[in-house]
Amino acid sequence: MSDVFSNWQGAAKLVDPRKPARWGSFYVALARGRESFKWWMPMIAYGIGHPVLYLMSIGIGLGSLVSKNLGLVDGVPYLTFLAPALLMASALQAAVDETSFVVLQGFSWEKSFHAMNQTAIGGRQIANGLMLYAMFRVIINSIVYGVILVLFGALSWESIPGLSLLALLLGTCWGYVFMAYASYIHEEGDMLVLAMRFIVAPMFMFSGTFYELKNMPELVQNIAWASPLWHGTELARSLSYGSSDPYTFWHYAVLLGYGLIGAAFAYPQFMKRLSR
Amino acid sequence: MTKSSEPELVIRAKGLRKTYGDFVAVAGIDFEVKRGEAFGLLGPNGAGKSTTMRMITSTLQRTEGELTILGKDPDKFGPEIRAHLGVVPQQDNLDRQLTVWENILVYGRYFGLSRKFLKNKIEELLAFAQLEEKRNVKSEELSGGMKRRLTIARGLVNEPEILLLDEPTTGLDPQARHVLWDRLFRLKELGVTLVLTTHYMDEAEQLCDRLIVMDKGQIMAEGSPAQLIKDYSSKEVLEVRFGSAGNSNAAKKLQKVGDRIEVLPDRILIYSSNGEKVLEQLTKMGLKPVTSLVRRSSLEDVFLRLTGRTLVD
Repeated sequence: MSDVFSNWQGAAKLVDPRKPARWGSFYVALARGRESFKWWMPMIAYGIGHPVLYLMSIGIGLGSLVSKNLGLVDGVPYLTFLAPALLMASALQAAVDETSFVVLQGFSWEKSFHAMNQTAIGGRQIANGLMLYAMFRVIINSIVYGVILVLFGALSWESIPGLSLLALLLGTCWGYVFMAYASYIHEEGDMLVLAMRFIVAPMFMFSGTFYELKNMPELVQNIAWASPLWHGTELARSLSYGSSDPYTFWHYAVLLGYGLIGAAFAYPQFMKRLSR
Repeated sequence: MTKSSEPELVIRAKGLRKTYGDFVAVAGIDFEVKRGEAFGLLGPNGAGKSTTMRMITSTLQRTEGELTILGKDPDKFGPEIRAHLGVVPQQDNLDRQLTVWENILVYGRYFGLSRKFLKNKIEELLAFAQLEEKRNVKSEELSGGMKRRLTIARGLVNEPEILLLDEPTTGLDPQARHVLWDRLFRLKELGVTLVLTTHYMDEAEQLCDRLIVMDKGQIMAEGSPAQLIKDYSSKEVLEVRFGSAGNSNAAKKLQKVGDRIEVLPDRILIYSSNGEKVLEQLTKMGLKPVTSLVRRSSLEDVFLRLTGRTLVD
């Protein structure tokens, strides 16, 4: 076998910097995927097991109780009302998973972003690569969740592509917010845990996931306007069973606003931390 | 020799300065590195070596001054320059979840290298790092020395024009250090420029054609190891110990012995062209050291002379 020295050509001949300049983000996403797939068993178990168990307990169990006592919710059976919201909540959680501790790990714990930045790629591509993989995971997650919802009779097959794209929009926009937030945290993950406990978890309760928001106190209704999940859920319900919604434009505007603000903070902070 | 046949300058720094608020990490230094040269940055912790190294690596922006790497400004052409560099950072930053094999593959892909090329390259690098048996082991399960060897091998995946090594042998056992030195020599023979920081004097003397001695962000001296020793130290050094209580008393009597003396907490260093002769002189003076050692001067002595401190202070 040849050794390192006998075949040495030198980087000047070997490396074309245009290639990593063009494909660097994709390489980062692939690396993230390779790392993430080390956990493929729990990922599949969670990806399928979570929606199935959730639908059995909340959707069918609680749903039958709701239907028996209240009849239709928003003009449809409870499970139909619940399904698009669950899909959106799951997408948001997947996006948060891929843009929170992963960022902290890259900057502080393993310094893998610094290793990447020693090569021909830079901070912007690292952030793009992370987001690309987060988007991939959100899409796969949404398709799997969507199929399970169809099998439970909660969705139609036709609505899966549209709902997956909405999930992608929600995941990407909120993912940028979380990526930006995580990129400002140094060393310990306490601030991320706080954000999970006091922002992400309550979001599921205040976004009209399990009930119509119009039945809630006005204060809660106002809080929902700040929740990306509520905007995503409203759009998803409209797409899924045609619920009437006068705020479609604003739902998109708020989601895009979150995404733009998140990206505006995330990219410069990535560059800054990698050049300090 | 005509000017065109002179080795190309691959690194050029002029007035290079890096500050963090009021703290000056690198205080406006000038140096040049020629292609194929082994260039060292020597100094204690906090001297500014790693900061200088990170600026050369094109991952840390300078505050002031000029810097060109391979003829380009790293602040403007960072990724393009880094495409041709190999970097071995002080702290191993391997991907802990990935195997040894995957760590090199993923890193190679960041340079845009094809899978086909990398398949062979990884085998060569595993042999280089003596990690063939560990190819499928996650990097988090490797020993410290193995991680270091993998980090060094990974830094060669793109066959760099300049290999930057920040404290490369920290954590390696003596045998592994010598193996690495041998391999770095072979890379140098291939025309690879080596830039390394170290606080091991033997390493600097073995590997470097030329080096700068840094302290407090400044260059204290520059030259080849032999030239620096010649300029700043004597040929030999006599090290004597009189016990922690006896050193200071003995030092008073030794003021006129040798070329000069340095009194350290645990020993006295007497600089002279002939250490044995000085030792005889001590005996005649009635001084009986607990231990004595005559050795040749090293870069440690140069550093002591220049800064009044040892490298490990």
